[in-house]
Amino acid sequence: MARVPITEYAAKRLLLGEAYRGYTVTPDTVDVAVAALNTTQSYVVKVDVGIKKRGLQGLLRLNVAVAEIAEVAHALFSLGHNRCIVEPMSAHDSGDEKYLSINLTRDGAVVLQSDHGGIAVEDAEAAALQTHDISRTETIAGSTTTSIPGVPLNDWLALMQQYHLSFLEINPYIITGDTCRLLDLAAEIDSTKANRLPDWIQEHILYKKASSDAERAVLEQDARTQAALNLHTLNPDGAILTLFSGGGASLVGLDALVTADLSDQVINYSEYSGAPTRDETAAYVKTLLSVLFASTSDQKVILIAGGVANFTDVLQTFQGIVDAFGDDIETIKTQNISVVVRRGGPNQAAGLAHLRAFLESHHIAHEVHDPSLSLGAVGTLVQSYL
Amino acid sequence: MLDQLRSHNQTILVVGNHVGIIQSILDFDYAAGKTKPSIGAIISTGRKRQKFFWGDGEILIPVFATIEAAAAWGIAANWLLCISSPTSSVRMTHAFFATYPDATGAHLFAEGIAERDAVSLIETYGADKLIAGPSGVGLCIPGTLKLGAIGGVKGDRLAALGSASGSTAVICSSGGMVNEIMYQVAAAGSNLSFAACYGGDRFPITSPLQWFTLAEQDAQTKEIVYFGELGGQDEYVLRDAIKNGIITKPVYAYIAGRYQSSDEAIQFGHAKALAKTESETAAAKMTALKSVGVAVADTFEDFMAMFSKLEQTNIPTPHARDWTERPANLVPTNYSAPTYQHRTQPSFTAGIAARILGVETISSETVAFLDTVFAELIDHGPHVSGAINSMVTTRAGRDMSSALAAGVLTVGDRFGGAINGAAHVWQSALQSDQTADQVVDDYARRREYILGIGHRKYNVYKPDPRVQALIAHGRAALLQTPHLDLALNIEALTSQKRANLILNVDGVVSALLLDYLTEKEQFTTVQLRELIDIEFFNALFLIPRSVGFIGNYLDQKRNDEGLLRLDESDTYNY
Repeated sequence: MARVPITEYAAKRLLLGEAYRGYTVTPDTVDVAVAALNTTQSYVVKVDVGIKKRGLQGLLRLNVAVAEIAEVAHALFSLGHNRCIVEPMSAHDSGDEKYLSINLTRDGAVVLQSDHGGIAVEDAEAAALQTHDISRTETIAGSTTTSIPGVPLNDWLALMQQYHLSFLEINPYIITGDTCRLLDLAAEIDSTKANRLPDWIQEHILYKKASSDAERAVLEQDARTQAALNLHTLNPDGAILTLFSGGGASLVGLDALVTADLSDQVINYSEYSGAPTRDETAAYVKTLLSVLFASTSDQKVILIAGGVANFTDVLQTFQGIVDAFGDDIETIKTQNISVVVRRGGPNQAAGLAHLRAFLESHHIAHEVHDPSLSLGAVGTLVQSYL
Repeated sequence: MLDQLRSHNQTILVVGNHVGIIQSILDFDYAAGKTKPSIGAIISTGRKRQKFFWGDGEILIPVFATIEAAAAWGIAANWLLCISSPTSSVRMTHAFFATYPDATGAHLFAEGIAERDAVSLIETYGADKLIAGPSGVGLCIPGTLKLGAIGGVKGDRLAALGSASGSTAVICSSGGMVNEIMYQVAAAGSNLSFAACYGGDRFPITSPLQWFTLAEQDAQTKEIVYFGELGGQDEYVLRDAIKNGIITKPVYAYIAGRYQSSDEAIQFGHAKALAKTESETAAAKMTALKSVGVAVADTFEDFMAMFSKLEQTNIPTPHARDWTERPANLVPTNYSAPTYQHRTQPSFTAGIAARILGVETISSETVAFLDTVFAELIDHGPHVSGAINSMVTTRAGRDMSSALAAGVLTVGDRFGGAINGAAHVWQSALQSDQTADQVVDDYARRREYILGIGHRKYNVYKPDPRVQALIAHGRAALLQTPHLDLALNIEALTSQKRANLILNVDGVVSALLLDYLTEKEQFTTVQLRELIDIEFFNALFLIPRSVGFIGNYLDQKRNDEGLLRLDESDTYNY
């Protein structure tokens, strides 16, 4: 997988350790957590689910008295968010706000720093961002000679290595005397090693949330197979259901729809790869079909497209597709759905013939092509069915 | 570098037993007219050999549990194809280059190798090795190398890739699209100088620029077809290299991933395929490459149309076979005995030696030694166990097969079958650097006989003339005799304890044959070990002595001897 954000709370606790004075609260824990606070200090309450620019969206409250924290948090939860971070409020002059980000790269790390942080950093020129390149050797060792006043850069680089943090953005931070205070912090971890991290961090990894039952179902199907299956809903009331195979070919297929000016008609981005079995393919396609059936569009096309597969068996996966179509054939007919196909690879002739025969026998409008048709041509082809 | 590779044999170690990919590599090799498969060994668990198709016939590929074991066996690999889990892939890559420091490169098939591990691999190997991945489908140099699933598994495509190369380099992020583009380049009438899939991860070990540089430095490559995608900064590095004259060959490019989402940045299929900033979008990268004169296609159909402008160079692979597909489309998995073709061997002994060692050629010195051994071991008189059994069986009225079998059944540690046991003594002591003293002490402590030492009839005062003759034969032919030297040192100690604890025929034959196989046939320590484990050395006794048993049978028949009964004096009454 890829880089995935973690909560601000988890990132701060990793960087600051025991010194960190913030709390993480959920709808279930907030009342108990607040009851334990024995202070007259006021607090900041922020939604902590990886959303940026919280101030502009009203997802953060300043100067909250202890007695009001629970109420404020519940108000934020009621907006549909399930976690907040609660920190002691500390006043500062916005002129002191500084900016720092660390991005791990193939050559080491790139550190961007500015003494003009906060909202000012949006304007790159005014922020006068400084770039520090840190070498691969220094990054791996967690020890660099690069120094930024007040910032424990070496500690952070070492922690990034230890916890597979790939990206940190601290905006703003404040230097008071010897201490570096982190006011706002965004971090991403390398999800490939997520299962090696301590349990408490795992709960703070902000994986893409399923936005529908269908997305949830596909996430579960994906977890249960060696192959890769995914579903990302774009426009649930669009006309085109995509079923792409391969990470690269799926981009090209989507590009072809963009080129044909069909972007806003695309229901989903869906890609399978890594040779799913016939049964796995069938279950996955059935889930995708449910999304298509639910669309309010009065025109519907299924686009099945991929390149010339290296070793994914076209017959096996197409048998799975036909199995799924067969189960829902009546709805496919009632909703007048057409099918456009472009695919190649091992057993392509048999696979394409199997699907074509099925579509013909049920009188479904279709076009089934092998790689003699350009993958880029699927956009205009789909358009001709709308 | 590519020229160098094109003119030499390539040998791959495959970690992970992905039968389909392995067979596709063998099909490619066969079509390319190679006399030997490019796969040297498979690293996996299970059986020691695995059967695959080789054109219309079949071959066995050796299987080892570890990379170190393959090297110890003598497999000289220069590529690693790693088809295993992310964690194991990292470990195997380190093990491979530690074992083969001069190897050329690798392909890591796994998706999900951690960024930290990738960066660490780049730090260690990035400058010197060609490593395709993590993820993707590998590297193909038509006619020379197919390292991975790249180019697919279909016979006609593999035949085409094996039989000719050309002047177009394909460099691609995506495993599926590299095969698609290779197919379309061929459909447009052009051939490839090479195709590399660097993978969809954030940190490919060999970077896109390094693959471009390989193309730039390759005389055969005239132009580069590039497929990139949204995410990361690779295209800006390429832009700068082109601007600074590091890359001068024409580049045709497509950058995939133009869909712009209104709400959030979408994570597409590949780990890298996410545009968090404006510079990571496909559109920004297209603009960057266009700014230095790269032909960047606006649509994928335009990209395909560009392929008609590619040079139509056709460099036939020497000795390429006219081959499209092996007849059986099933991948074989069952082991069965090899069918030996009749091979012209100069003599009966040479034929036997090649057959029992499982090799095609064998040196005349080893053959001469075996000839002497066989001559010495045909018979040792009628008083020994096996001879008696043959004769008793014959005289009970049975046939030749029964008499031979009865004789053979006596062969074991006490009679004739100590050659293998003796080989074990010499070989394991030498392998573990034990001195003669240590060996003798060990056996004495365990109260065990040392096989290969001791005789019923001969002793230090009356040496076995056959042993003397064999030692003289071996010393004359060999430069070094480490196994024999150790055996004689052991004899020097044991014969001081008792005069008949001398090196016997079993001992000298096994020691000298170990020396012959090492020096004349280039057997490695591990290969010698395997011969001992499968009881090979006892064949040296069974083969000639079978002749002796047949002789015992024929003698008895010729003389028409009657039923044999043991003399009363050979038993006792109670």
